[in-house]
This record gives sequence, C-alpha cells and structure tokens, in this order.
Amino acid sequence: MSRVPTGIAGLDRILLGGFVPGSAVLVEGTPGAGKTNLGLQFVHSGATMYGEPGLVITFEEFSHHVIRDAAALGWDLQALIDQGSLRIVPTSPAVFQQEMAGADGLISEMIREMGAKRILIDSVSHFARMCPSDTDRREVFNALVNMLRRSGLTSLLTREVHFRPGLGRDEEVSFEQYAADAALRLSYEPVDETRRARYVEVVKARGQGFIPGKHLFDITEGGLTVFPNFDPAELTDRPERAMIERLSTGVSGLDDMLEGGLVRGFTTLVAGPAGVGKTAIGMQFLAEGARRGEAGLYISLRSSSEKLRRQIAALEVELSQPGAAPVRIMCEHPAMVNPYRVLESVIADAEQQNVRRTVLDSTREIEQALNDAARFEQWVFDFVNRLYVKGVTALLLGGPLGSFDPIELASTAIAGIVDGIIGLCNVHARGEIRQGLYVLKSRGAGHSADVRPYTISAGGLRVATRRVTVYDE
Amino acid sequence: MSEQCDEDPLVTAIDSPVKLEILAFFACSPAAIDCADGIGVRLGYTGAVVGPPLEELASAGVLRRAGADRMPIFRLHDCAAVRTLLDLVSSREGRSRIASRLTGTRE
Repeated sequence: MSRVPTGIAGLDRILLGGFVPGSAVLVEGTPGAGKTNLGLQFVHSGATMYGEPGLVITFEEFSHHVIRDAAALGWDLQALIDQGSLRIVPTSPAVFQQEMAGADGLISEMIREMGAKRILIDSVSHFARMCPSDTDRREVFNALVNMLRRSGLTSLLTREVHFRPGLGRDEEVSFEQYAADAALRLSYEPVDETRRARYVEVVKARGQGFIPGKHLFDITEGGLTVFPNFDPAELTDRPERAMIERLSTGVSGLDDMLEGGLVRGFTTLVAGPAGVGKTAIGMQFLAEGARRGEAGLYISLRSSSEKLRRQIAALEVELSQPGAAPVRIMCEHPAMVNPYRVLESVIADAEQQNVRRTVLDSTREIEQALNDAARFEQWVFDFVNRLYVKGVTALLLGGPLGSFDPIELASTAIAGIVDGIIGLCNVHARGEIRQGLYVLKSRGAGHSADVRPYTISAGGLRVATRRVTVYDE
Repeated sequence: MSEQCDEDPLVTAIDSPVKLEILAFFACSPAAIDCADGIGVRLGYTGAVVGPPLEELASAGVLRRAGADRMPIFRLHDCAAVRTLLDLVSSREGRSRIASRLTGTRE
C-alpha cells in the first residue's frame, strides 16, 4: 500500500512508511511539545524531498513568524514560497471553512492552482471561536475532515490539549480523535526537576499498522529526530540463527567460565562497583574482536576521550594494531546523554561500519538520563533486541544502581532482559580485599558457578582458573 | 528602497495609520486571506475598526474583496503596482515617510 512519508525517518518507521494518502491526521499536544514543528517538517519534506507542494494554514501566526521559526531549524521556507511549492496562509477558521467548502472558494482554488498535496492546519483548537458548544464544534470538525478528504490532500491538524491536574496524562480522549483518520499525541514531560523529554505516540491510524508505545524525540537543528522503540516484528521477520556461535572475550580465564565465550548477538551485563575492572573487560573484549577482524565501538558516557585513552594506555590493552579491524571510541558528557540517540549511533555503526562488538560504559548514565525504571527497562529491552537483530554482541557495563549483591542483581528487571550477566565484586578474605568474578546468567548456554579471583595488570584482567576459597572457610 | 512617488494613487490611498498597519500585515503575510474580524484580531482591533479601511483599500485596488454573496474576505491584489507598494511599506524608511505624511495630514 502506498504511503505519504512524513520525512521524519523515525516517525516513518513507527508508521511503517508514513500516512495513508489523503488521510486527515490529528496531532495533539501540550504547549511546547512540537506540534507545529512536526507539521512544518511534514510540509517542508513534502516540498523538498517528495515533490509534493504544500499549504500551511495558520490561525494565529503571521507568515514571517512561521518563516523565522522554520529558519531556526534550518528550513528555508521563503525559497519554497518563491518556487511556488509552499504557501503560508494566515486566515480565520470561519474564512477557511467558507473558502474550502465550495469549488470556487479561494483556498480550493489555491490548492488546485499550486497542485498542493499536503496541508498543515495550525490549529483546529481555534474552531472553538466559531462554535462554543461541543455539539457544534463536533459538526464543524467532521465537516472539515470531510472537506479535506474530498480535496485529496494529506492533512495534519494540530490541536492543543490541556492535561487536567488529578487526571492521568493519557486521560483525555477528544471527539477529534474519533473523527480523524489517524491521531498522534505529543507530550513534553518532566524527567526530573531540571529536564523535560518529548514523546510521540500513535493513538490511532486507520487502515495501517504502526509501532505502539511512546517514542522519545528531539527537536534540534534540522528538525525532529524520533527514536522508535523496538518493534517485536523485527524478531519474527528475522531468520533464526542455525547455531550458537561463541566469541572469545579476550579475558584470560573468562572464556573458560563461559564454556567458550559470549554468544554472538547477545548482550551481557557486566555489573560491579567502581574500580573493579569493568572498563578493562570492555577494552579486552573489543581488542580481541579487532584482532579477529571484527570492528568495535566503545561508548563512554562518563569519561572524556582523553581520560579514557589514558586508562587504555595504563591497561596496556592494544585497541589499534596493524591489520586489525578498527575500534571507534565515542564519548558523551553525562549531562548530555540522550539514551535513544546513543542507541541510534550503535545501530548506525552496525549498519554503516559493520561494527560487530559494542561496549557501553555505563548503564548508570542511561538510567539517570531516563530517570524512570519502566523507561530504563524499555530502553534495555530495545538495546538488547535491536542489537540482536543486527548481530552485534554487546557488553553493558555498570548494572543497576545501588546494589551488586548477586542475588539482588538476579532479581532486578533488567537481569531478565539481558542475555547474560557477569558480576565483579570485592571479597573480604583474611584481612584483605580480593576481587572475584562470577557468571550469573548465560542465556541458553552453560557456565561456571564459581566465584573466581582475578588480577588486573598490564594487558588487562586475568581470571584465575580456580574458585575463590573464602566461601569455603 | 522603492522610489515610488508619494503622489502615486496607491500610496495616497494609505491615508490612516490603520491602513498602514493593514498594509504592513499583508506585506509580511502576502498570502493571507481573511475577513475584517480576523484581520482585526491579528492587529489588535475589532472588525468594526478595520472593516471600513479594508473596504477603502479594496476600492483603491490595493486589496481584492471576495464574497459578494457570503462573508466578505480580503486578500492582496497581486499586481506589480501593489508589490511596489508593499516594498515601500516593508522598509522602515518607506513606513516613516508615509507615517510623517499621515501626521502632516492630521495637522
């Protein structure tokens, strides 16, 4: 079935290609959620990417304000106006309705004249000016949707929503949602006391499938970037791997505990407190992959590039060797972390650079950035599954905030999502602190039940071949 | 800036500050199509205040009036003379020239 792409890659993925042609799409949201920007990007992309002229109907803005606001996102609407592929029409709801209703109406004529295929109406909330009663407003809105359908335009209609205190954020169901062919809901929600995050959700879409759920999005120069949640259909569409392939971790003694190494395409959580050697395991894993011709990606959300390079030098782990595959290091400041942008980088590296091993350091910055247990679990689920689909083997360093006790770790929600868990811990023994490593989980494969001591020296971490005896004492 | 003569009939049609504001609105929103009430709201007036100047600008050929059998609506008359007038209204110097003429008229 043909689709009208929005031109916003992530949103088109959620909509499985775009909107059904000729549909009237409601875009609801709170102030600042990004309704107008989404609508403008839809019209701008139509004109610049798909050769579809568009119309912007605005009930409160002046044209030059729309042009100015779009320029801040990098879109030159004036050029499109000059080319005849865009018109911005400030008008009133009553005039719009009158001039759209008849074949000889000025707006109908304009649509025909420029061959418009897309229209943004910003916003339908202004129809309340024409008809104060809900019944009248419903009639007017139905008439509007029918007019738009008749015109053959694919239309986006923005609508302001006001969440009432005491009601849940998703409580409001408007009559406009019933009348429209599709409805998107945008929200701009507090993450903590100082930050907010934007989400888009497809509430309904007649005649087409979509990826359900609330998907994070950003508005930066260039417009909206939507980060879709994992679509479970990707797993069912993918042929099953015939056999389990083991990959060496590059950590002496660890492959033995894992009965051969990590499983290709699986994500393993490497959990433990600070300073126990999680970074070393990550580096060794990538260095081993590079030696075997597998490109790698190390994402640090806590250290600067310079600090990390010093750490690598101190460990004497050779990440770049002659003839080896490349290992890319990507560093982001913890305060700037966008978890879904990080995930998109991993996927982009897998698709474009053929990266097969990835290390993320650490999950704590992801958890802090999302500041919500359910969203963190969703992110880990998306990470694990999207990387599995791409055949990328990954280590998530860090583990859940707060506890490193093996039993507690096993009962956390993300322990059930990841494919494997390696724990690192400090063990008190005979008046000294020793460090121990254990494998808590390895999905579908056997593993050692030992807690084995290890040392960190030049070349990285080395796991002893025998278990820690402290528990036997 | 346009060298349009102040004696141009289209320029002389701007004989009140409200008309100048209406022209400034159309200069920055040239595809606007609206009724007197709608334009009034955008300019911070009522429809009753902007209605007569809109009708006069339409009679002078600056705007086009549609809707003989329905709600009257106004849009720009898209012709070279009006585009030149808009260039004049869009420039600060042009607007102050018209504004000082209006002040002089009132005096």
